[in-house]
Amino acid sequence: MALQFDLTLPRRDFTLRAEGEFGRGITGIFGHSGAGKTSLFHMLCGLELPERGFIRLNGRILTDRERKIQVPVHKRRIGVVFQDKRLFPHMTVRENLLFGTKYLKERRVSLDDAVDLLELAPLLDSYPREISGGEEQRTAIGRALLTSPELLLLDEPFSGVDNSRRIALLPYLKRLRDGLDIPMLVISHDLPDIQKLTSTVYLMEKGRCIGHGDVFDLFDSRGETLSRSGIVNTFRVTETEETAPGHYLCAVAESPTARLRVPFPPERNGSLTLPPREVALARTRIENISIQNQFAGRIRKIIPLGNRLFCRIEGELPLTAEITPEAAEDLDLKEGSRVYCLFKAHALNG
Amino acid sequence: MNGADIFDTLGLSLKVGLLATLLNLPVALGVVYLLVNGRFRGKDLLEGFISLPLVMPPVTTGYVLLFILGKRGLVGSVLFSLFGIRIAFTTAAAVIASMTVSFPLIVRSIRLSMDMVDVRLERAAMTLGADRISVFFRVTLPLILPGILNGAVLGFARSMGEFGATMTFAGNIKGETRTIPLSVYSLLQIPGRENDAALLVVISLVVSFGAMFFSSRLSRKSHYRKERNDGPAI
Repeated sequence: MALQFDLTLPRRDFTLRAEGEFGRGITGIFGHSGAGKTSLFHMLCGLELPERGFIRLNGRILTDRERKIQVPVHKRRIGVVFQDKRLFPHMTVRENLLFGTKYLKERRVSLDDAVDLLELAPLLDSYPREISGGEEQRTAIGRALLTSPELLLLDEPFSGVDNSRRIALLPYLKRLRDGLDIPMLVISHDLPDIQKLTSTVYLMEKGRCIGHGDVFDLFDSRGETLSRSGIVNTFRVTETEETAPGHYLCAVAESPTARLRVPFPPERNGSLTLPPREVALARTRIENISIQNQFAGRIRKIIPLGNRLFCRIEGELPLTAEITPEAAEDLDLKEGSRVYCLFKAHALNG
Repeated sequence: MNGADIFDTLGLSLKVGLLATLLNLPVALGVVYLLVNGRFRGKDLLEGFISLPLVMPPVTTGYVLLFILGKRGLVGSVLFSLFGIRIAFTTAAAVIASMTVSFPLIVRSIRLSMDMVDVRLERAAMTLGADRISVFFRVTLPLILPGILNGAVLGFARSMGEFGATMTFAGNIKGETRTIPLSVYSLLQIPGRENDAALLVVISLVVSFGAMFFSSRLSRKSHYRKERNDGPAI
């Protein structure tokens, strides 16, 4: 594992105790504000000193309180994209991007690569105050990327960016995810945002890690938290075919056979999200219905949460459906029952 | 008073003012850095001590300087007996007097801009690989440049106008310590020389105003304050 840590930091209202192991790839650090996410980042990059514990990155010990090791911030090789971007106001975008390259022995990411990836070429000679919030965000990402970090931390990359722009930022983060072979941790208090990027989450609550792994694997034990946070089914689009003007048929990574009907063109390698409550279950295939998507499956597990039931369904298209206990009784749904999952094309979000 | 005299007086004033400012700047920067980032006992005391010349009558400042650096002063006597160095009543004394009175002004101006520097930017620089020294020179210093500039101009203007401490500590020696203000004072003592005095006053006004003008031009030019004007105002 590239990154390992076990950290303790007393805070005003609770003691932060977090441990974890992360390989390459992207992990969403999810928790409500005040759960200790940012403190965790600060300890990882060395801006805050834990009371106890250690941090190891690619075999290098960055912090070890027992052995009194604390590698200074500037020697950690951890790229940080702060929530408030923190571009240097007296430097152009180009100078901001190149800031950290001076301290590198070998550069693994070139300016051209970063500029291409994040589409920064038209901004290079502008000053931070002349560019938009989303562009600032991309510059901050590029600046961290150009230090050839061994770990990339992004703190709430979507916050402070309005809704249309957060969708605009997503493709860049996806390209980053697919192009980097280092661990990447993304803080967010918005679960669907994280899920659009990755299914691997690190759940934090009141300073503790309460789960780390695939978000739907965690659903069995942390269903309460996850459903309250608006967990969604996500499907990664691999191929799209336009069957009629405005009608699209999508193949998704989650299923070899299922084709989803979507009323808008999803972007390549984009993902579609589907809230569990938008999924209806039927015992038989229903003909003559306006609902466009219908997939056969079997209920693998039923998780009761309050007055709702979450059905984990395996089959043509694995997904989770939310139904009422009454509906389950009427249809006599049990674990193992064969069902059809129905959802409208418009229930899918890009 | 002929042209050469005027030029000499102006030259001496500029020399003393510029020297005092240039020597003060690095010291003031260091002191401000210490005051902002340092954690030590007696910080408040140091701050108060630095501001003293601001509230003391310049004549008393000159007296204190004489007490310390004069030929029979605490340090001055040692310097004189060991190295034969005499400070009081020389051009060096005029520079030191100017330095002393303008130092708090420079410190205050730099301090003000240093306090405004966002530490989060400095931390971001650290995560990008910059050590403390690098952060200071690449982030902090450029950001406080307007403050430094402003402090330098204020300090220079204060030095140009310095009278009391110079008179007491450096004396009123023609060609050595007689700067413009001392010259004006001396000329006013002599009946019929009011016009010469007025000329010097005008010159000193022009120099001070020029410095202020130059500084505001420069700080407006400092690039990160620049905003593009080619878009519609929103």
